Amino acid sequence: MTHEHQHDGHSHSHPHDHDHEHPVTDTGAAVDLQIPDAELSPGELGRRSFLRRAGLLGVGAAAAAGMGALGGLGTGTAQARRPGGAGPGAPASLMWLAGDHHIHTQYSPDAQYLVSQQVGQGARYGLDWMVITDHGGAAHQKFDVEVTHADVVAARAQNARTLVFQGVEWNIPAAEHGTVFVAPGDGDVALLKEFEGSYDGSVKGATAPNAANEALARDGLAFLGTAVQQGRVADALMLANHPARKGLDSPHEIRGWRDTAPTIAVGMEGAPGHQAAAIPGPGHATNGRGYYDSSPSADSFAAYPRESYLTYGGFDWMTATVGGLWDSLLAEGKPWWITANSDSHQVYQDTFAPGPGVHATTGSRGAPVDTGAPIPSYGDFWPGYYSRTVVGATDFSYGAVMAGIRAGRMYVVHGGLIGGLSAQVTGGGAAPATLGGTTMVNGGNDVELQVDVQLARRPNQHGDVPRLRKVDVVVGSITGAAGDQDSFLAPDTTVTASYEVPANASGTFTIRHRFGRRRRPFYVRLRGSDGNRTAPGLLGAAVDPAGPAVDALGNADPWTDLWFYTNPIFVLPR
Amino acid sequence: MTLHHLGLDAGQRERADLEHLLARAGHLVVAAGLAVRLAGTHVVGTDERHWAGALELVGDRPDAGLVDRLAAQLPASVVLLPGGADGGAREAATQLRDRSAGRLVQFPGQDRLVGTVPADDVPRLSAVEQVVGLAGTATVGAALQTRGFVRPELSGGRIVLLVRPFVEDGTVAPFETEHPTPCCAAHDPRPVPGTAPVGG
Repeated sequence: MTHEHQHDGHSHSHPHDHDHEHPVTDTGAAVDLQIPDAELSPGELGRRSFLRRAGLLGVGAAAAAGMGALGGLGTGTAQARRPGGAGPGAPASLMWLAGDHHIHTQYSPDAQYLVSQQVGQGARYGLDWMVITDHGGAAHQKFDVEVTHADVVAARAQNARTLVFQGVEWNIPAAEHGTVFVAPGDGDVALLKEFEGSYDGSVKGATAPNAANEALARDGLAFLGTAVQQGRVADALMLANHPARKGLDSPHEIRGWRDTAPTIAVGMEGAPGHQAAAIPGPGHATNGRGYYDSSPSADSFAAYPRESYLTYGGFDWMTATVGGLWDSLLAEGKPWWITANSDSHQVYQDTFAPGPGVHATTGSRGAPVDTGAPIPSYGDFWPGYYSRTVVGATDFSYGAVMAGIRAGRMYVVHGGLIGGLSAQVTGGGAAPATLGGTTMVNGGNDVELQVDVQLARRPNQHGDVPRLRKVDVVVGSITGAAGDQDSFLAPDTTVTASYEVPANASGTFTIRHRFGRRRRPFYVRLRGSDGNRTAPGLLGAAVDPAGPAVDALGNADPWTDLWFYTNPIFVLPR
Repeated sequence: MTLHHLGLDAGQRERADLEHLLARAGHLVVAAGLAVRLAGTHVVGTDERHWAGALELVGDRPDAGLVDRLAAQLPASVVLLPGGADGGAREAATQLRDRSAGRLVQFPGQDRLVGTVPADDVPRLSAVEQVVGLAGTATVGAALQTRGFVRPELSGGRIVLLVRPFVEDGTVAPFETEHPTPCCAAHDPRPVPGTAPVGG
């Protein structure tokens, strides 16, 4: 059952009243984190506690508390991209800030740019926030944390409209890489240095996938959680990077990170960076898109199929497979969000080569050298050029971006496929919920997904005005905690509707999708495509009739295969 | 034709080290008058997973002296099925014998899978029993660009070659590439031809 509405050029935002005057009788109050625990009735408080224990609540609550001190950073440049409206959590009140949490510089042994170059390019290509994430390791830990900080501080001064975070690309013990980053503040450098020295898999020689190293990874996340609780830093987050690339992140490790530190370890890259790696040309013949061209090693999780080492429309198998690993996490009813980033090391067709520095002994490759000739073998894009993680933030500040990421108020988009998106689930006698949120609805049949997609109007960096062809609605049941911690299947998750975007559409494409009467908890997420390359999903056409197609080795033009994905909204019938 | 299965385990974490060990073992076995039909690399162990090797031999059953000589000269734990203690060597040999897991670095017909070969012809040309396209990749009528590197896998009792789409429509390549993009940290960067000096 699909239906569609398309309206040209006018907004469909609907401000919603959060009536805080009747929390005792409003059964949606338990999930409305604007209402303090103390104002809830005993019944509502019990329900909220239940949801918190189930992991369905509390991600936003932790963010809402204690972020006030950060509100002043970077202010004065706020630029609301949505009209004002209801309180935090409702789409109308949010500004959507594009960012990238995975960017390398000369302080990585395999990258080259100055911090100022990367930040300047990201700002030029429209990013509002960025995280500098050079590889963890002995030389980086010894030499680079302080100098990176100085460069980041200078970049903030030079780019007042851009939030620049300092982080590290953590070698997760026993696993892949992950972005770890912190809110700016007095303790940030010392905290990052201690974390890397104590918990980086390379620094500690803890890369083998054994129980002790897996425990070290969880200890590292717990350390960050404690550091935030104790006020050493105002906030910290971890997101797993290119999670399926080499089969190193097993399902039980991902669940372990999430469950050990649910306010710190909040998600993973839905799409890896290096999206230019398989553009046909010199040096790219045996590259996978995203450099996904590996095969299993002794460190890989043995049960992953070979398909997990490939990408699909530029996305990682964990995310691209409807009913796959990501959905199996969401089916537990717990937060686990996706992002998309550049992983920018060396930019496709850029003229710069690495500087002459010796990273192993100095921590830096020095300033890059301009060769004057484009270098086609590089496989990356500049930050913001192709991949974006768009976060719904309550204001323009470091704290609000981190809170938005933690809350899952994010969608990801490649190549400017869409200009913007707002989505919420309304009805059911409850307050609406947007991406990453939870709504507790009554038994009525008026529960509705409302989506407003701003179609692209301007050319992307390839010079094309992308055309969105369809939007898929993916729905899965929430079945509770997984019995098997290594499960990567969600048998009940499917594409339940697909909305075709008319060829003459412009302005805002609107979807109003009714769920009908549902008694069991579920989640809904969205996926959209330019329609150029589709194929039945890995779990069959009945699950996903027209999903992303597998990317070819050495021939994956990222500009002709564009997708967006949103994070889910959880719907709990009461 | 009588087949024998020999397992070798030196506790190696890097597959390249195992492949070197297998080559040396192969020379020793041939010197003893046996022929190597298949050479496989296998992931073994539970908490400390690592690589172990296995050889499928053709000829008379080797005597215990060969097993002892291999164990001393490689050095490695060596078992000859059906005997041998439990452990990685036995696990590898069993995987190879049963075609249950692992990948082959040596197999009959390997020297014919060079250049571009019709995917349909691979079972006729080699010990590979089936070509399997990953993620819906069509193989019937496809051209297999071997790029000089074919590593079939053992799965479900068969020798299969997994392939993925490659460069042009209708062209496939083996799933495994000879030189995957290296992992970043603590490795030298990819060389960039014709550019300024490359650091550490």
